[in-house]
Amino acid sequence: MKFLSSLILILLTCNLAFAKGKKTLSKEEFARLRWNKIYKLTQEEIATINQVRRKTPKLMYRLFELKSEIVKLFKEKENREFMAKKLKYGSKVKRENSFKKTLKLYKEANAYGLSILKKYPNTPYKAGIYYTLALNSRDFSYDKKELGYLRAAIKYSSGQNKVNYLARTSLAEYYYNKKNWKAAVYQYEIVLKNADDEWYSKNLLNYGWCLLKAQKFGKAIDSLEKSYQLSKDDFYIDVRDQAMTGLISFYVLGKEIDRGIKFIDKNANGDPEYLLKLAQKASGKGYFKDTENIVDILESRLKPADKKSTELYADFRLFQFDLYKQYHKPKKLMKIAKMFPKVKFTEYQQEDAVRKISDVVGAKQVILKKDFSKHSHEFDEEILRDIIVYFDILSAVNIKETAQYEYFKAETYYSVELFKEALNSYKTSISAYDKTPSKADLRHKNLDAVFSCIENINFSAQEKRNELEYAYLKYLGYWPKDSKAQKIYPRLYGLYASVDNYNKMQSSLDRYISHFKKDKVKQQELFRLMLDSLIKKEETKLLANKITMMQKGYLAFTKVEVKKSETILANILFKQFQQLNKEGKPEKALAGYQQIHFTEYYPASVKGEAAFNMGMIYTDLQDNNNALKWYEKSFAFFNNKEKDAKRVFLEKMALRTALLHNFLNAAKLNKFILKSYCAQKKKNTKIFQAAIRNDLANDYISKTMFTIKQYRKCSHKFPMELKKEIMTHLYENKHENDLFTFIKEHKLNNTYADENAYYTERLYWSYYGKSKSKEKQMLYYLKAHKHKNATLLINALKQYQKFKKKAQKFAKQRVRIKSKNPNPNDFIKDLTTRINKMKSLTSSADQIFQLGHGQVSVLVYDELTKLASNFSDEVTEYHIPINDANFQKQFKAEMLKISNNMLKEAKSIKLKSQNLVEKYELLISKREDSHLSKEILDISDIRVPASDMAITFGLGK
Amino acid sequence: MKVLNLLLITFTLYSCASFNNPRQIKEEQLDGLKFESLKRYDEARLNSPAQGKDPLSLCHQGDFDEAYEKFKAKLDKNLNNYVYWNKISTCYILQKKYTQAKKFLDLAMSTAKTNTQKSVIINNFGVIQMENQNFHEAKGYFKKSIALDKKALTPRYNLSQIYLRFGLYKNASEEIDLLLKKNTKDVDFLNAKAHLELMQNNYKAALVYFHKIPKSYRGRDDIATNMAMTYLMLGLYDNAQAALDNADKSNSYYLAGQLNISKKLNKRLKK
Repeated sequence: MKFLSSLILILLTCNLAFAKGKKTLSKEEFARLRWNKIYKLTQEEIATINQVRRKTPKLMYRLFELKSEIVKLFKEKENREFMAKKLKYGSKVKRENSFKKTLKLYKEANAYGLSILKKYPNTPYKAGIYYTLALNSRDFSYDKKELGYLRAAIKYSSGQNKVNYLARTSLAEYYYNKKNWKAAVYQYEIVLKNADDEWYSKNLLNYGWCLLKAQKFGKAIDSLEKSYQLSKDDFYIDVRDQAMTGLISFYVLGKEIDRGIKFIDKNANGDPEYLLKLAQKASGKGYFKDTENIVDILESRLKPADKKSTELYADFRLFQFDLYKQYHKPKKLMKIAKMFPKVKFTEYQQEDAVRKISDVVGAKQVILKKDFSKHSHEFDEEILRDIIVYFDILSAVNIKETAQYEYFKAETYYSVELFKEALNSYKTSISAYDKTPSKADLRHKNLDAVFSCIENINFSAQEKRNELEYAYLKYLGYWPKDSKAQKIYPRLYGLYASVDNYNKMQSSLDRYISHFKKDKVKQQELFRLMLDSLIKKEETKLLANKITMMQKGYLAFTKVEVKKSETILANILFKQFQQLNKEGKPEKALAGYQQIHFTEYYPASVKGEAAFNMGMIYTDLQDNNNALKWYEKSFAFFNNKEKDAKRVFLEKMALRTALLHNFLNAAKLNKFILKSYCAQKKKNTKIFQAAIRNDLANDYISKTMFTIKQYRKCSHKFPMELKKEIMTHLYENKHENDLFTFIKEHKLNNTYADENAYYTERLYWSYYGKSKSKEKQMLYYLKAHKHKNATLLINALKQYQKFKKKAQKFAKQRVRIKSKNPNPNDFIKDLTTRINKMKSLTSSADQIFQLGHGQVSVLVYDELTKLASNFSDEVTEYHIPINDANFQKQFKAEMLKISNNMLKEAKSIKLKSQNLVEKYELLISKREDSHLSKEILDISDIRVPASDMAITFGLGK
Repeated sequence: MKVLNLLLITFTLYSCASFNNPRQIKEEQLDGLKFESLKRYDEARLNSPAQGKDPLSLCHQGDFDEAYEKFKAKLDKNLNNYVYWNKISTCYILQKKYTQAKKFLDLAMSTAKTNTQKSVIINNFGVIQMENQNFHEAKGYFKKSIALDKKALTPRYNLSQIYLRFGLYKNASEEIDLLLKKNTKDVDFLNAKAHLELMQNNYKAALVYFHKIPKSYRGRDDIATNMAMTYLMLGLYDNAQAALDNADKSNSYYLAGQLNISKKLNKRLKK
């Protein structure tokens, strides 16, 4: 059977090797291919045998072997499948359900074997069939028929030594497995008589174990030593490892450790591995001295530098650690542990080392904590020291877990209330984790503990701040968005706020904002804290910077709040300058404001306010040019709202400037207001009026007209009363050209017809008799007015002119007296005619008087007075060349009478004129002949001149 | 600084030395308007304890800048004080800056409460108009001023001057007589009355009033000219000449008149 299997295997291997040459097969593919091949070959052979109709017992026995081979193949296949399912489904997979085919085939094969024995009870293959049945039962069925079949095989194999030997060996193994040592020893002693078996060494090994179990240590050691030694012979199966393993136990159990050392030295070249195992075994059994003896041997033989024995060296040190731990040798234990960092452990060894030290240090921690007195704060410092050293060793051995060991160190310190040391270790753990994260995430635990330590340590304020800053920053670095972080940001901010570290306050707040956008209210509150602090400290530059941020929308502060902050900043900045100004140092205040105005980082509104304040100081200094210049500068920095806020002040300043007699600059300020707030037309109307009134106060007519032209568009209206005011001003201050232009441009002819007619007539009379061209011009305007007064004047003037011409004509029509033979009667007749003409002329004046124009009437009275007066002279001048003294006397007397009458008439006219003037209080500009004081005025005009007439009423009541 | 002080002293001395008001009246009893106007105060009266601190007094002495500075310094306390604004206005009138004066009169008017106060201001409005030779307007203001305060003398005096100038002698007479009732010794009231009589050809009557004027004031160009004319019209040529000789001859307007009278006098003397 074995031969058959070997043959098949060889064939198969060759085939497979050939196939392999083509393609590299996986382990599973190879196994499957091999199985198929064997199965095919076996089935082919079975088929061949089955072609024989009358089979001999030999062929039947062969067929039984082939069937058994098929069972083996299926056991192998189903076992493979079973293992795969087990791996996949675990314990749910049941063995009894997994080998059905095997069991079925087994039963068929078994039935076939038994049928051969039944058909041929005396067949020479009887022992062999029983042996095969025994092996099948052992390997495929577990039907407990193995022992019976083996006994039968031995029984019927007396003539067949090979089957007998094999059956007996199997029987020995059966007993060995059933721990029936006595029966096993008996069978092995028979089997071992045959040394001509390659399995002899193995049988010796098994036999030795049976002896050992039977407490026969010496014989057992002998058997295994023999097995070990024979194994060196190529003929025998090499079971040296198994033998040595057994021996190591046997030497210790048999208390023959020295024998073992010697055997190993002699037969295994003193293999340190065996020695170490021996030491381990000895140690396990409590033989410390023997163990130390072996350890000493190993210490001399094992070198860390020896690359071949690196793993063994590590095992040796690990063993030593166990040894000294087991035998409570703490110093030696520590000594060995301290070597660990330099030992090159395999992964498994490292785990083992870590576990070993961890066990030790864990136990020490329990002791330390248990012994710690919270009242007296006493603890075993040595234990603490050891624990710390062990953790350091652990960190060195298992560098990846340094963070964890540092945490454990910290926890140890914490347990004995050494908070400072604990804090340092927690921090070291955090730092180590940052470099190499441990398997367990200890950051939360570490930071919780850090906070707890900080609370428990009596730090100075500065130290506490530093530690808290560290903890907060770490926390936020790890978990910037969690709920605890939400609470930490304000605390961190508060920490920086407590030392006025504005940069860090800002950066912490920015981080808070970036992770918690919905916490705007809280964030604004924090920012306000900073602003308050900056305000308190008067950190103007930084405050300006913050305000600029607010202006740009930082934290969405309201405009009102931004403005409020700007105002506060301005107040801080300006405080000292306001004081300087109060102290009468305006130059210094101006310099200060100017510096602020030109400093780039201040908000625009503050720069604007500074410039505006300069304007205010200049206003106070009555340096209105500069004041206006700075007001203008300020407005370049203000927004509309800020500009609006200044309006009332500027209006007041303009008014004040006017009240301080500076109408020019008051007007400039008014115009600045108009220009700056041009859209506020309704509000501007009064400013427009003020601007014009201030221009007029200086009698600057061109400026007034320019103001109207330039700023009319900024005023809601140009009030009619203002137009009238301008008109009156122009008239009263003798700007007649401007007056008429203004009236024309603003179409005021009809609106103020009375006034215009009055002004024109006044001007006409002012030029009357002085400037013909101006007279004409005014008359032209008067005609254009078509006002009733103008019409009256024009009519009156027309009639006056006619009357005047007639009077002039009359003056020339003197009575002509012939020089030769004059006739006095003719003269009287002519004179009477002339007197009648004069009367007629005088009567014609009445028509003019009836028109009722005072000045023209007075002019007529002047003409009449002159007429009468001249006629009085005229009549005295007449001379009739008649040489008759009496006639001449009478003629002169008559003429004188007429002359006197004319003089009386002239005086009467004067009185009429005077009465007219006084009745109507006429302030006549042209009055000559009819003037009561004509005689005096002819000598000299001694009337009081206008400049000397008026007396001011300066003293109030 | 020393230079500045020196300049200030020099300026002050010059100012003092330059004080020249031909209508000044040294004796307050001869000043019928002494409670209403400083116009005819002499330097001593202007610098009296009662008036010396008043910036208006400085204006009457020609120190306008100093006066304005003083006024400006008192601005805030006097925003609603019509007297304050009226005084400033008066200064500007004296300085012949009539548009500015009017502006301050507007302010005074806006702060005046009683008719008496308004009367004062309106008189000054009239003065401005008179100075600008707007006699119609001036007359209106003076009449309104009188209507508001019948006891006010200054507007009556001013109105009388307009009437005199335009030959409204009856109207003038009413005002002047009333003024003379209030103060029979006032130099200008008497001169006005005398002038009124002269212009109405009542030369003797005129002379009566001229003689009531203290001699020390008869040299005033206006008085001397009027007196000379009166004497001339009366044919008292020596007196006329004496009056002319006594004239101050400082007013160019009257100087021309005096020259005309002198020519007429010479002609008549030759006859």
